[in-house]
Amino acid sequence: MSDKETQSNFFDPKVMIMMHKMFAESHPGFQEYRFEIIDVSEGKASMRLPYNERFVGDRSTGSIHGGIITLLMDTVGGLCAMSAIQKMAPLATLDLRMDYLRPTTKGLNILAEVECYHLTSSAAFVRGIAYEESEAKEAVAHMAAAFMLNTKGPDLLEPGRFSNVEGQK
Amino acid sequence: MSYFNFLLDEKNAKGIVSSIPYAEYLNISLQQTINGEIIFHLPFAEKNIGNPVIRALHGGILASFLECSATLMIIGTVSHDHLPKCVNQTTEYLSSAKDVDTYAKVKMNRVGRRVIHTMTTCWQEEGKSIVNAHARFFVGGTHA
Repeated sequence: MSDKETQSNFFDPKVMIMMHKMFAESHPGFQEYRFEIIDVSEGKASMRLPYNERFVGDRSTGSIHGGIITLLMDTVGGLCAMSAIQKMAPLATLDLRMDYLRPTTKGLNILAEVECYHLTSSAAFVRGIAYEESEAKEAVAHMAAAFMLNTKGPDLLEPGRFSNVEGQK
Repeated sequence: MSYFNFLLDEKNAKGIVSSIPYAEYLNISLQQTINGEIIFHLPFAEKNIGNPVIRALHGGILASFLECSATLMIIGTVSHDHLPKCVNQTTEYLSSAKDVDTYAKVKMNRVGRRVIHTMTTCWQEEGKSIVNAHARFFVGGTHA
């Protein structure tokens, strides 16, 4: 797949299937956390983290640990940066700041919504909010991060990497 | 300083880690060096990989490791009864992490009555920091 082709096809349903595979199904870690992509559009991305007792930070309340929210935000931030450049190019987190607004509620899933608010040729600046998945949709954490673009390594959507995608429609 | 005011044995090291289920899940352990310093250890696991192409550890896992280390350090030194609550954390990534074991140590820059400022650094090769984190914790009271 040439650069140009990838670029124009980034939001193509086929690419989205590959993205789901890469970020959820075939990834050794994300399979474990059961991250789900909710939506990806240009410079925006959102994902869900289902509640899991293994990720609890405080036994007395059952609220999940800040670290796993950081993990979620870093992942969505990376996906958001890729959507901004419309390319599944490798990138690296330069720095990431988390503000924990309040403890999460036991049993509720976490939603992460991240936007890329500035893009240069070498960096993507993103910010996002993590919410509880409930009617009140209360914010539990804020995140701001900078990603360095085009770091070493091959494109993540190289042909053949997810060879069984064709049959997954 | 990364020191406890008591000698750490295997049993109380396990006890400290067990106060955070997520730290147990990550398989974090802590040990005391011969000069009394506390070192945190994150063993390599396949699920900690972020970029499967270059086999680098996920930045979010490292941020989690550093946050857990700082929390466990506070539990071991000053806040035995109350779980410290992280207010915020800034993580800076100096270089990418390989698919090997990672170690961390925590410096408590200021221990106040309500707030503790920590600086945590982690490495895979002796003398080469790969990630640093600065965090603020509330201790003793409530944070809601």
